[in-house]
Amino acid sequence: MDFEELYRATYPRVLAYARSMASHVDAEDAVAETYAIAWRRQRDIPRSAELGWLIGVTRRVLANARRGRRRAGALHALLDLQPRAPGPDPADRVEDVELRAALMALSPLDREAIVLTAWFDLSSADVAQALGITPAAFRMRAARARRRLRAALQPPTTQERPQWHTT
Amino acid sequence: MAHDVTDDIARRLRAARPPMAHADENAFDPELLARVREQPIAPRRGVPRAVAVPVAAGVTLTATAVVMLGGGPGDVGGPSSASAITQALHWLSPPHGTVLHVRSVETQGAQTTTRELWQSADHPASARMRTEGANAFETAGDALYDPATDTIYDPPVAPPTAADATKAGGTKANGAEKKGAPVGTPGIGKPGDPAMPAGDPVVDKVRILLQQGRMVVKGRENHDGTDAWAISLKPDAGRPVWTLWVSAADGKPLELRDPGRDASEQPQVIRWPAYEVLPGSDTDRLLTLTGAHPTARVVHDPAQVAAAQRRLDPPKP
Repeated sequence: MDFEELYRATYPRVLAYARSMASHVDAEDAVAETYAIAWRRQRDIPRSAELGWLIGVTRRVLANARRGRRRAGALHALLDLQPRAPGPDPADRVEDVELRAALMALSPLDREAIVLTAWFDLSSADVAQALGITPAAFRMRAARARRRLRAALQPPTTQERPQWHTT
Repeated sequence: MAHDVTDDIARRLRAARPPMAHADENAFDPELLARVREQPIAPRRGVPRAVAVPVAAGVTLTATAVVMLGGGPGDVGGPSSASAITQALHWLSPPHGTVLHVRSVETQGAQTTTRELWQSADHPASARMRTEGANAFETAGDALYDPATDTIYDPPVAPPTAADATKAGGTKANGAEKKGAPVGTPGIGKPGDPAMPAGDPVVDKVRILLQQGRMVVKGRENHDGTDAWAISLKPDAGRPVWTLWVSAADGKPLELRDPGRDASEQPQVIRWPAYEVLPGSDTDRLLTLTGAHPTARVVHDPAQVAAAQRRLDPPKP
């Protein structure tokens, strides 16, 4: 697969991922950065998990941007100017309040594992590549996340119900 | 039945997919492609400013929560309430290198369930829980332990995703990949992997509801002889108001009382006889099933694992 073919095949989903995790402007910048990196590192892109690799790069680019914001945020905090901006956590985009609360009870990586699978139809290999973990580790995380979500969302439990959930 | 619930979760997750996550298959940016291809393929070359990610002012969700719980918005009732929440959250974030140990007794109607949790402060996903109610069993990750037979049921792998099924030459179904790892050890994040602070499930839920502004600190009061803060669900949250009391001295959760919704949902009381941290020097014994039960037989057969799951921890009706 040459680069243009790769670009055409993956751009829509990489863009969708970035837009679902960040603001429109940040997403556009992250996608541009991602393909610039991909161009430079063409030989490093794993065959059969190209999309996961690209989404993983996008994820790291967005994370770097967040770290930058955090540093800026510390300065603003000192000046009592702490701004508020939505984080790129996928749970922030979920309007189903009960589901969002259940997702927030997961570790961030577990949350990403299950959301990447559900929202972007990625294979285990692609999700594992995107998250920088092994496929086996991904499957364990996804299973655990499903188990916890199942426990949290089992009827008649509601978000407000203060009931123990077996993990 | 569990499979149906899992499918329902998948459907619900997909239904929650934001519009931005839908890929426009016709999306194509020729200018970006051209710009990228103009760059030489060379290592460690910087990205042109035009495509550099801007660093704008902002905060993470965590930081937002800290501001909020530190007394920012007015819905926590003033400095003393904010102090109570900060104190509680401090306790609920046990020190690095320790293992949180929680024992709770939950009573609802005639049924009493005791739960005991050991959870790594550094890797909160690494936890073992013992449940003693209608059945007695332990869980750690996807694995179950049956004390009656001294058997650990450890599923070999999670089911492949739909995308895997359509992918030619997909990853191998394996059981060997976990070989050598202690059974009942959840996939632990890499060092530095951020995660929710350690805490029992009810406490986690309270934390989330506080962060969402759906609970309020009602005030300081004497609760069964202990100086305590009362933290309650807001009256407009859509169900009868339940209250959690935490010790004013150290923030430990003391008791939770839920009046129940109606006749079909009886009042519920949860007490925490133990909420403490243990030294993290013996994590294998505390956090894994094989470490806690070294003589146990380990079963990986999926059918036996599923049967044990149904028998020991059946889905609630």
